[in-house]
Amino acid sequence: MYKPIQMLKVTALGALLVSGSVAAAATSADLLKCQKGVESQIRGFTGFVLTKVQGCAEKVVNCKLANEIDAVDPTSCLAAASTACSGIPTDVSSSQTTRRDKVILKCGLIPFMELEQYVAGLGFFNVASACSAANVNALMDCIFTDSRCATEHQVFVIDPRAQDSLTTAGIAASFPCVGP
Amino acid sequence: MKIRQIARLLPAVFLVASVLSQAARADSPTLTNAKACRKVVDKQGRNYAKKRLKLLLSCVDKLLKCEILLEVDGTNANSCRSKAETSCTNGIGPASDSSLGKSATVFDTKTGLACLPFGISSMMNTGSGGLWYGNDATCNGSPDIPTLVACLRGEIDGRVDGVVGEVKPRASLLLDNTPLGVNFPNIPRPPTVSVVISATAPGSGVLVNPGTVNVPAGSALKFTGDATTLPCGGPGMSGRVTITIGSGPTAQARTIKEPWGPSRAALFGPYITSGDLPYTLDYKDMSCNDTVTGTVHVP
Repeated sequence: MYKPIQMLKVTALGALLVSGSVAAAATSADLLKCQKGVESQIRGFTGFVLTKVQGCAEKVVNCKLANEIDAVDPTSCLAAASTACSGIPTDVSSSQTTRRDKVILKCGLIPFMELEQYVAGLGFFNVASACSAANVNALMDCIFTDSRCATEHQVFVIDPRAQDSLTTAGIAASFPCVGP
Repeated sequence: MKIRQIARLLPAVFLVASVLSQAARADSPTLTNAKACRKVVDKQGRNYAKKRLKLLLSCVDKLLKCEILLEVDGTNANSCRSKAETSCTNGIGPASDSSLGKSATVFDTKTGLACLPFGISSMMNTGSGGLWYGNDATCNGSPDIPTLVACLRGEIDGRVDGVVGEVKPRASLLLDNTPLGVNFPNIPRPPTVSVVISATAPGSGVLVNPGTVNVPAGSALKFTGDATTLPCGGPGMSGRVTITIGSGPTAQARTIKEPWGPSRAALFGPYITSGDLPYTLDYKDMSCNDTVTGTVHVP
């Protein structure tokens, strides 16, 4: 059962999603709160992606290395690793949606123009243009998607076997940016 | 013993057997070294990436706050900027004892030590039993582990800084208005219109009026001083030009000081709304003193 505050939040989010509503000019506090919200949620999300994807890749690569170096039969090890990895795409997608919605709650009442403008705004003009975002929801989708992609690429830099590992685990399609 | 009691003991028996079996086939030294290297690169790489992101965003947050308070509320930004810049230098400055410098050292040291027993050729090996760093087009020429580790860190830097530019699009200009920006070339920059502030002749003390400066929507405006004509003679490096764009308490103002040249810049904008903004260049150096005004035009 929702607590009253949660219900209020859900209602507010729904209103934003439906109307993309725009209010009066934002105060400096509104802008800073929004910026802080984006930062905090992106940091949490990218950290989550790193931990989850790396964790899966490491489980798989350990099975493969044991097979390649010590000729250990990898069958049961890989089966266990694949099982452990199977929920990760859903976990990551859920985290992305949840965190994006939290940011929209903090930023959604700021006029989109003020999110875009640099002077007296947050400067998302070029970010929004690059992905044709016309409202805060689309903008946050872009930011989370781009940040996720950059983070997935970090996984590949740190572990060049990660793409192969995710393919073995059957989840590579969910993480297309794990690659060169 | 009853069958039911035996059945209850079976899981424990299997567990012991499994442990004994694992112990019997302990990893070879090569596998142990491979796993140790792999694990530490993963962990330290993740820690370093998260720390870099946190430090950069934290610094930009402080710088941004000063500008927002000025631009929206008209709060004087000088003291705020000075404090933020000091904090940023401690956090992400180029010194080895800044927080970022220490994080880089931890990554390099711990990863290097953990991978030393496995060796550079095994790390580079793109086949069976290798860690495949030879597939990394940027770092595959690294002759030794310290070089490879530093190269990987450089790649992580690029990706993290890209996220910073996405999350805080004003980051590049805010950092470029401090001496720190040059250390973060991978943070995306908006297009920039450059204006070189100059005097009519060396030591004349009379500024050339740049007139109307056209800045396309989405572009920033960058002012630098001309090292040939602006110096006004005499000892010391006390020359300065204060650039003010806009009017009233929310006008943006920045000062560039001697030594003049491209490394000392003042960045404004970017501007996205069509219109005209007044600007003022206020020049002071020893006996030289001049002020010119003009318009920033955004079509």
